[in-house]
Amino acid sequence: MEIEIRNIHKSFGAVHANAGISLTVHAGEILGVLGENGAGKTTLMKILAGLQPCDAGEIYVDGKLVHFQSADSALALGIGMLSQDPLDFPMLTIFDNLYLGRKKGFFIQKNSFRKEVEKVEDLLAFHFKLSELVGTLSIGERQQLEILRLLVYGSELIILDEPTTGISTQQKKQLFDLLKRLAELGKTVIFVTHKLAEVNELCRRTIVLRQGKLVGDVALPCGSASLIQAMFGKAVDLQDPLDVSRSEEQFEVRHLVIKDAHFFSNPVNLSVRKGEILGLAGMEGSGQKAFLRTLAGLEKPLDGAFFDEGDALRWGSTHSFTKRGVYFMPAARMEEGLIQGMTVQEHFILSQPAEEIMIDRERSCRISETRIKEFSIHGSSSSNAEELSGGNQQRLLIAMLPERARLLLLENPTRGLDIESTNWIWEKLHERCKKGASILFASPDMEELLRFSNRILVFFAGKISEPFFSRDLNSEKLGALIGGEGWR
Amino acid sequence: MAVKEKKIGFAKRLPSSAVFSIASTVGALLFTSFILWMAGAQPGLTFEKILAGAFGDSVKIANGLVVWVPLSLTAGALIITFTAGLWNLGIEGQIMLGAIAATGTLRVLQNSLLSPVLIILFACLMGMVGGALWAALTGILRLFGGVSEIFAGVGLNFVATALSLWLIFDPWKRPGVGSMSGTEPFDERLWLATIPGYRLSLWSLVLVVVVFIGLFILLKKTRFGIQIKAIGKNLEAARLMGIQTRKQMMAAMLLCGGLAGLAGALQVVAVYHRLIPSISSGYGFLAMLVAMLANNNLMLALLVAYLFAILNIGGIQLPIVLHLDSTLSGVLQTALVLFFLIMNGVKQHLTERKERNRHAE
Repeated sequence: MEIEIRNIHKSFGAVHANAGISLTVHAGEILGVLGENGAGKTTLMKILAGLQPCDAGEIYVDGKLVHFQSADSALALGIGMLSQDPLDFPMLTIFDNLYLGRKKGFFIQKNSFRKEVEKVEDLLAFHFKLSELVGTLSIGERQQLEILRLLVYGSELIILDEPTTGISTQQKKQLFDLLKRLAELGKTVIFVTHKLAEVNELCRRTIVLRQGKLVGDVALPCGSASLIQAMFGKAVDLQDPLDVSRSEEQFEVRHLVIKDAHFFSNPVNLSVRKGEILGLAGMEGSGQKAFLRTLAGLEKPLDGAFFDEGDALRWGSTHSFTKRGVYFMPAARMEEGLIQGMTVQEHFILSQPAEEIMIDRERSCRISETRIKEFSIHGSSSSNAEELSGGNQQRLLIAMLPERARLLLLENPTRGLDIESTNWIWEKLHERCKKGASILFASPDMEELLRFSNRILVFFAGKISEPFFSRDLNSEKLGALIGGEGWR
Repeated sequence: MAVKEKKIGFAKRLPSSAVFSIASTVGALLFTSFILWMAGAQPGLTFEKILAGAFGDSVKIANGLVVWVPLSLTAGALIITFTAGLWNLGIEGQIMLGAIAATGTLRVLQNSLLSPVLIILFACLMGMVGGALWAALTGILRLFGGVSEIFAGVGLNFVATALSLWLIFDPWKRPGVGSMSGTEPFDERLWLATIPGYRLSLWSLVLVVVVFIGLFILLKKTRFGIQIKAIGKNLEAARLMGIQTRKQMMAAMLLCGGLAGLAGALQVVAVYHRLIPSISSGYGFLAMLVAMLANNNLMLALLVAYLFAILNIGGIQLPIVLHLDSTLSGVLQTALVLFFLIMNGVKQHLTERKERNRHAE
């Protein structure tokens, strides 16, 4: 099936989500659709799947002009869309889920339908036990079920919107294998994502959307630099971590045993060099937060010691840690990091160490304005912290880390930010490293860990690994370690 | 640009804010009228008598100010701890300890050769120390013992009451027999000078003004002020920012206790001239209502404290002229606070709904 769309427009209020997009998709092709948050990807896909009307423009299926009134009419023409969250009925069996959308016949024709399903399953080379409840399937399996359903109802084009969110590396591999198989069978696949690596791995061709416009149509594989330039309209400098092999060690942890709500860790020995970035990998709640909080002086360890240039730090008062330049930045922005009801300027006054008793309003106003500009925070000095958007709150948190900080303990520092903001924040953090600060950060994003850290510690159910050099790891190895495999 | 926006926002908020304040005042008056009507009294006449009792002549006006001094000092003290998120219910005990320390100092120094001015100053100073130390006990229990400052404070209030009773009835009792009327009054040269013919001391009034200017600077212009505000609003975030939370919370307690102690000492040197059993007269708890009603705003606290003071003084007349108990003014004061809090809730509810609607559009 060949799809051609011409000059699609769609606006939501003042936002021009799709501004004249034209595109042709060929049969048997896996087309990538790349773009940052809010580029108009989902809107375009919803129009194509009949979930949303467009303001102007035409859609041709195999050369014929079509009009979709609903997802139903799109599906009837062979276009099916897999949504970001599976829309199924966990309490029903797999068979019932598949049968629900069937139009033919009044009575349930179990056997003939079962044969139809099995025929498609044979093509895809996987089989479900049809009497099982959908609720017992994993997210990855539910995606497969959804794809199966679309195929059973005759889809020739399958649209997937950010399907890799929330599934494991292994499930992702299975999904990609399945999609490649679909393409071999002559089906068309449109794969929407904001992750470059996925597009490079799966597709031969990708389009790039930016601010509602089609800004690139690229044959793959190709270098990520040009794709990023297309996505963001400018080249983003991806910085490698500094070479710290010759810089001096400034922090040392000896035989540290941390405690979490559920477990004690194994003893950790670690030394951190000036300018070094250490990533903490692991499923959420595997002890990374407790580790960072312990090093920040917020929680007492069961055993062990923490040295700053040879001086042992004593647990008991957090202030003695911050005084030495050890700062913790929490992931819970409004709960632990910022203060509701206080302005941006007041946050800067509070977070900057100073000895004077009186506040110099004029000076602090100047500092606040400079920081707002430097960290491109959308908001003014007199905005309250809770009035900022999530991304701007994150920027404020980073901007508040004082200049004298020598060890930054960051819990998920780029939470909720798109690639551009993430890179930008890392640029700022690199500047700190160049000045001699060390960084320990936890993140759920393997790519971020691999790209920005010198070394990585893996956390798994209270066990803490020896540090790995990130150049010795790749996402498969790291994924396996996070999942608890490959531990000695 | 930003400043301009804020001004517009403030101007927009102001009228609705005033409407809510008026609504809560009217509500409180109606509620009290209802109680009066139930008690078989005429509400209109009662309010008239309260006003007459408070403003009838210059002595009555002065008496209102006599109550206003300790009330506003204590309310100001409480605003420090409230800002730091500490519910210092031990304020009563801190006033009492201030009075006890001042009395003790006067007793020791009354026969010395020091000038009376120095003795009075020293008594006030020791009153502050007494109140601060009593508050320090609450602070230690809270910060190092994990005991809520509410319970620690209330417990220490009982101890303070017992302590003052014991002092009055045993070591400091009047020659002969101890009595509920308190210790032997001090010599008149140890009284803080009052305006001739009135119970009011100008020095007390000046002190209130000075203390409130100091409080304004402390809370609005210093790092300490903004730090305790941060602590009160989000303790965890304040700690992560490197603020010495324990130290500053302790400092807030000490300052509050010191000012409460000063109020207690003034009751001794300027009003009663001796230690009496309940020298705090419930001003501590009343000041709590003042601070709440003023929403921790210093200027408003001075006004509300004055309103409460005239209600107190005006209420004294009620048993004599209308055979109503004087606690009625307490009903009115409490009703005011309750209605204000209710109206605050209503206002918040309405703003939230408006916000939601705006988002929905």
